[in-house]
Amino acid sequence: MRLIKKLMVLSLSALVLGFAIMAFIPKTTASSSTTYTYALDDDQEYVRTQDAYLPGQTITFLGLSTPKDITFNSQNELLIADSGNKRIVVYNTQTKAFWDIKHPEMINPQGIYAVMNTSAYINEGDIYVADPTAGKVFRFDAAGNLVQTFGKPDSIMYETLLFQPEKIAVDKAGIMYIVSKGSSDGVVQLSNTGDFLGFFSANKVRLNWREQFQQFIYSDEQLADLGLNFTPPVFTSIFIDDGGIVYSSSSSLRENENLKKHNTQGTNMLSDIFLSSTKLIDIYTDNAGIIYTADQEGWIGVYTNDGEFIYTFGGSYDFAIAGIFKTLSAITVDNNGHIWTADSSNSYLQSFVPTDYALMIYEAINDYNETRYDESIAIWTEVLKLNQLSILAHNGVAKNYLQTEEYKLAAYHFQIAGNRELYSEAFWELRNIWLQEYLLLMIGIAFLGLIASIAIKATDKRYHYLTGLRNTIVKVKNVRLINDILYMKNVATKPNDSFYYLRRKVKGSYFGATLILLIAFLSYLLFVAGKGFIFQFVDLKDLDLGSIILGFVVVVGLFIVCSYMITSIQDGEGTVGQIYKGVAYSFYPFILASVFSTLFSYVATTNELFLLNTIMVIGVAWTLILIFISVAEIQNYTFGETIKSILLTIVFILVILLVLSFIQMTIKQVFVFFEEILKEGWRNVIG
Amino acid sequence: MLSVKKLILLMVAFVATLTPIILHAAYVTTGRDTDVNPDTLDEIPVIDFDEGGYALLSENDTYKFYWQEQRDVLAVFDKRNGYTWKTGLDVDPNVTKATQSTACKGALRDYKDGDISFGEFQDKCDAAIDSLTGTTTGPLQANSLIYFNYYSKGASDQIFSQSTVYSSYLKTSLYKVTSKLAKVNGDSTHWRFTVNATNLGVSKDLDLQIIADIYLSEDGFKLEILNENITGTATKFLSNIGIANYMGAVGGVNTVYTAVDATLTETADYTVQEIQQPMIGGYAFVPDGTGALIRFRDNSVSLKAYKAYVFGDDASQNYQNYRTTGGAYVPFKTASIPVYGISHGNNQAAFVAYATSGAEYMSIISIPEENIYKYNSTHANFNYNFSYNKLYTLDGDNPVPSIWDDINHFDIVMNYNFLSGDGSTDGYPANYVGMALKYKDYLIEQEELALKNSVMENIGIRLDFLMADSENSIVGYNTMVATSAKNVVEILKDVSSKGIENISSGMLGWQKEGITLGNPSKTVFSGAIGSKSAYRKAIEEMQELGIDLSFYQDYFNINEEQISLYRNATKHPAGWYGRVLTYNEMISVFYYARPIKSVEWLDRQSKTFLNMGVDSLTVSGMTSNLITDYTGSGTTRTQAIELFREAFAAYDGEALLNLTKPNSYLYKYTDRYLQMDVYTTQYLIETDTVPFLQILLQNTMEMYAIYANFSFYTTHDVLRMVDYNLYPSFILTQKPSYVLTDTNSSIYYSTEYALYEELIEEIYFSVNGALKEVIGATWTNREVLASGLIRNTYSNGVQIIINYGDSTEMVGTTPVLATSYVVLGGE
Repeated sequence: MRLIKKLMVLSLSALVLGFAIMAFIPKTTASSSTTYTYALDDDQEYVRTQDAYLPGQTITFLGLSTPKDITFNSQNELLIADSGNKRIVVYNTQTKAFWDIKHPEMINPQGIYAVMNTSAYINEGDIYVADPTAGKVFRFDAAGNLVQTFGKPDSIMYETLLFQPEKIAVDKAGIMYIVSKGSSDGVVQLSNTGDFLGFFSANKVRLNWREQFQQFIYSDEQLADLGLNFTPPVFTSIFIDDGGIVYSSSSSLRENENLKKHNTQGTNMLSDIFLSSTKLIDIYTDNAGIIYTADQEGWIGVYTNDGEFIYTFGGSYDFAIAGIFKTLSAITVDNNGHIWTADSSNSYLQSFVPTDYALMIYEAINDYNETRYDESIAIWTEVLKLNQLSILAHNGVAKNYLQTEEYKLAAYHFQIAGNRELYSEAFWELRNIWLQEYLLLMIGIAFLGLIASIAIKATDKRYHYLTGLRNTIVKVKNVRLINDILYMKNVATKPNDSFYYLRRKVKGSYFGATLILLIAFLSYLLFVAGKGFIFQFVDLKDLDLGSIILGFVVVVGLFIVCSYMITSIQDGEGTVGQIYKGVAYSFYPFILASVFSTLFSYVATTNELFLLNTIMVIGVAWTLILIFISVAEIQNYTFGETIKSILLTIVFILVILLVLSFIQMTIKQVFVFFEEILKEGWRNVIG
Repeated sequence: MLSVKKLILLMVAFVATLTPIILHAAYVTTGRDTDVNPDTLDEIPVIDFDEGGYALLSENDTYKFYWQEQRDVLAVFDKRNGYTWKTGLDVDPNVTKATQSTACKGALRDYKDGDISFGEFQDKCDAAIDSLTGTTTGPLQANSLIYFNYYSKGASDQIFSQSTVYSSYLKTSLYKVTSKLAKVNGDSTHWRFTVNATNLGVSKDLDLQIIADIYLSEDGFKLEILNENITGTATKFLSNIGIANYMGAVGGVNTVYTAVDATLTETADYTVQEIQQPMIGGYAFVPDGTGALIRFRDNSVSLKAYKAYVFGDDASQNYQNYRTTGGAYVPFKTASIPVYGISHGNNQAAFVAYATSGAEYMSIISIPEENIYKYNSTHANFNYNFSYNKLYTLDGDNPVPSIWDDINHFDIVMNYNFLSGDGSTDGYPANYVGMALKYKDYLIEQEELALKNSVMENIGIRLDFLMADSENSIVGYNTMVATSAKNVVEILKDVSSKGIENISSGMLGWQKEGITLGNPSKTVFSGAIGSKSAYRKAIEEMQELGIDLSFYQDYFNINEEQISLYRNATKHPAGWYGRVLTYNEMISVFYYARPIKSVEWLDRQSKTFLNMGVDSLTVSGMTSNLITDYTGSGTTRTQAIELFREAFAAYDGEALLNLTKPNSYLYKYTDRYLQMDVYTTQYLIETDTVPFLQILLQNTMEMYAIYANFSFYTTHDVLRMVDYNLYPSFILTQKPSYVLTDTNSSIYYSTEYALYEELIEEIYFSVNGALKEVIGATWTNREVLASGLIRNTYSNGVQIIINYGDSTEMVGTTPVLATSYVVLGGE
């Protein structure tokens, strides 16, 4: 009896515990993935994140041979274009029952589309099959009976083109969007009767300046010899979602728009998106608009409805491990959100089950799209618990905060996410609020300051109580070194006279010049590394201090040396020391601009980028003009002589740099050679 | 006080209230689950040993051992279940597809000529011949007790022990192999199998002799190939030796010849059909990660074989001087024990095979059915020599393929123990549980394992801390501190205050410069992370609370920024330091510490740790990796094992050892097994995941799961901890993990204690609710009652029933709610 009692208590406590578990922990199994999931960090580089999907079922018993495409029909049955066996397999993923559709004319089914809803032109359950070898599109009913066959369109426009349908999608009007093998003209559009309607969207070639130049100067044969192919990337797949939006994928090595979400005119609605791969082979979009892509390297990519990259996972290796593909050929998603894929080399199907991490992300995105910002923030916060490095989550939560006007939090998360553009927006709002709050106060303080200044000046005339302070300032200014440094201000405002005095050694000194150069370098460093978040694109840790120092010293040093050499053979009157001082004292505007730009960058938004750039351009230009004048004054050159001298100096600098790089390379080679010999000896003799 | 009646009523009402809202859906198992038992064998095949050339070698209470001399087949008749296990398929090499075709043709001609009747035609022609007889080597491979591969002119050729003369694609002249079995010293339980292979080599005439000693006993049989018993001029070229590669194989395709009589329109003929033999219920067990089953299936696609080097790959022998890790996939799980097994039917007949010597050079190979000979087969193979690229140039260009100067020297000792029935008589059911228990008992007998019978009242928890790591800086490196010694104390005190007991904790990156750049040969402390005195104080404070705080150190993976490679890094046969190129941030190239150095550093650091008062040492890297070092006179895998065992033995009684994924040779010294696998590599041929390793080690050490932080925190994961008898573990930091974004530790993307505070408590008490009932008891059985419904039985009578499914399941009269567990019984 006691035992039974204990048993009961134990059972009950276990039940309660069981419920307790259910209450606090997400339900889907995680952690058993065979591949890592990668998201992006703030430098747009991949970082590992929680598993988004886990390998689910591996289907090896269907006797498939090179499956090329898969899709679900309205009954949630999986249709498989089993190209090697010349059939369509209809597979029930729950009951594991399957049957097939065959037709004598269907010899290489590669693309498949299932009609989900009945309309005036098409019926739910209809199956469209694209067969490039037969050069036909077959339309079967849900029972597998052939309803229609569409061959090459009978149109003058299509007369010279091949019709090899590889992939197909059909809209509610029964219009077929067909990817024809090797066609770079675009997606073929056929009416529900098979008439050619035209090409829907076409890929374009985007060339960089080098390729444009190559295309300009080389013949087609030469381009071919160089392996340069400027034909547009071919479409690899096409998909139409429930709302009738057409999506397409393309494949090329080049960074073109390989993932497209088309409007009714065929224009791509996604721009400047990050693509995890440019060699896409298939695309699918679920009801929430989440876009799934498959690529030639076996990676599955997932994007938001706006094309924002969420994460990627997978990989192509011949390991025969669940979740890793030899040749990923197709992707689709079932009613439960499970991804299904086909491997055409190993001829099997693999499903993936979303984890809570993935589901939470989709829900948060959906909530944001449907303006449920508070709910979205709550979910993103949970996501951040699971991955504090998730840029997607930081961006996601920040976008919601932007909408709920919590700009401080928005800015905080945008900063972590490295999203300068939206951070700038949040910062603009924060600045605006601050200005609204303190503008009157600031004007008041300024006004009071002005009155106080006038009052002090007026009273000082009578009582001279500032004399002592003035004398101290004058004393400080008259300290030789300070005086020498401050002289750069005179150089900037009255360059001709100032350089004259500099040359005559009446004003300025070598030590002062050296200090000015040091200040110039520090202000440059401040500008490079110390700007506000919006304008600071390089992290401090990523800066190569050695290169910056070397660059500054080499540029300034070489100019001085080369200028002296050139001017000395061009009847210049200045010495190397005078040139040194002239150049150094010219840096005042640059110092001012660098410091001011850096400080300004902390209160500016991207809207004021122009202003920031203008300050810097003025500073640099002013300094260059001063250097020009210094050369003219110190060498006693005419304007023309000065230009000639500076141009020659620049040429001389370039020659020296070229020679130095040759010497450096040679020394490095020699060094590496001896280092390797020593290492090898060390390893084999001593090691 | 509630009466029992009221309790029952309450419970029923409770369940009844909830049942309608529970979704009922069948639990779909994947390769990560254990499926229900395989089909039962309705008929046990009966073998007439009086025919077929069998000779009785020996008989004891349990077995009769027979030998088929012509085919090199050892047959073991198990008296308990009447089942016969054969080391080969026992195919008649004289009846092949070729001979049967000839017979059919001749009979057809005679029948057409009217010399014989149709009945006689049928008698002569109708036959089912194993299709593997279609090749010369097919029957040899299927029957032979031993096969070996040797290198010949840059290629590897396979030789089989069955006496024969045959040619190979590599050479036109004939190999000659003779083999015989002879009794040793008149002892019928000790037999010597001698294989002589001559005329090996393409241009040379090489020979090889292998002597295998076979011992027959009440457990089964043992096969030994001693190092000195491999002789001959071809020894240097010996690549590997495989043993009983078709023992327990299932499947095959028969070529069926059928005589067909003449009809009105057709003349008499015979047909030839290839017919796949039906699969029987059963599986092979392989020690992939936690343990995998490969059920006998008729696959319709060709799947790759499973091959695993026991104790993990040898980076010196299995790879060229460098290898790359694809950043895409999770590293493969290791076979950390030298065990495999095969089970036929539903708890009817099985064997477990394990190496008791030579395990460090053992591979386990399982070939799926859709392969050359259409059989599911699994066997052990031992590696002797290997090929590698010899490098002559400084940049490693134009490598020359070579084989090493000498073979690996070791003794093979393979044990084959047979299991029968459901274990009700001897405690060893004929399934993977019985295999694990049998091997466990062997290890206990050898004092490699000892039952702990712990008296702890609650389970343990592992809370590791990520202290610091380095990132690139504008000048040199910058150490990013995520947790200080002071933080560790604060966090552990907080955890302890919640009633969580038996906390053990390791600190990763405790040293100056953190986890990636901290020198494993030194103990240099940093004030920012924790000074020596701060750590000492922390250890003392924690000891007062009963918390075990230790320093974590990887003594295997090293990098050039961390320590000089000279005399520290392992050399590859090519003469270069072996290295692995990763996709990690900051430091991407890692080298392997020499075993002798790993031991030296462990000794040096541990002295300091022990002086500081630690109760335990936390070691990783060297615990799960085994490498041959080619520096100077070198260190073999066998020597490395000895070095490691000696090193860890030194701490026996002095400190507890927390070892990360230790290989089986370290079990003797392991007190806490860290980061225990709960999954397999998930090869496509693997159909089930089973807690083999957990059953083997349960009640001999504390076993901690992989960190829950990283996708191991859900209900199913908690249930898996309960199912696999694993205690939870977490890795924590005080600061948010993004402070380590630009370090190698960026893989730990969620570690902040504030985020895990509740989850630690909840997971601990959930797992504790079940597992505290079985502390000190031994796990005796694991049954799959239905898909997703598991019953684990312990020696104290407690049963834990785990329901992974989404609907309530009844076990007897006990309802087990969806995604929940129930604890039954006990004292």
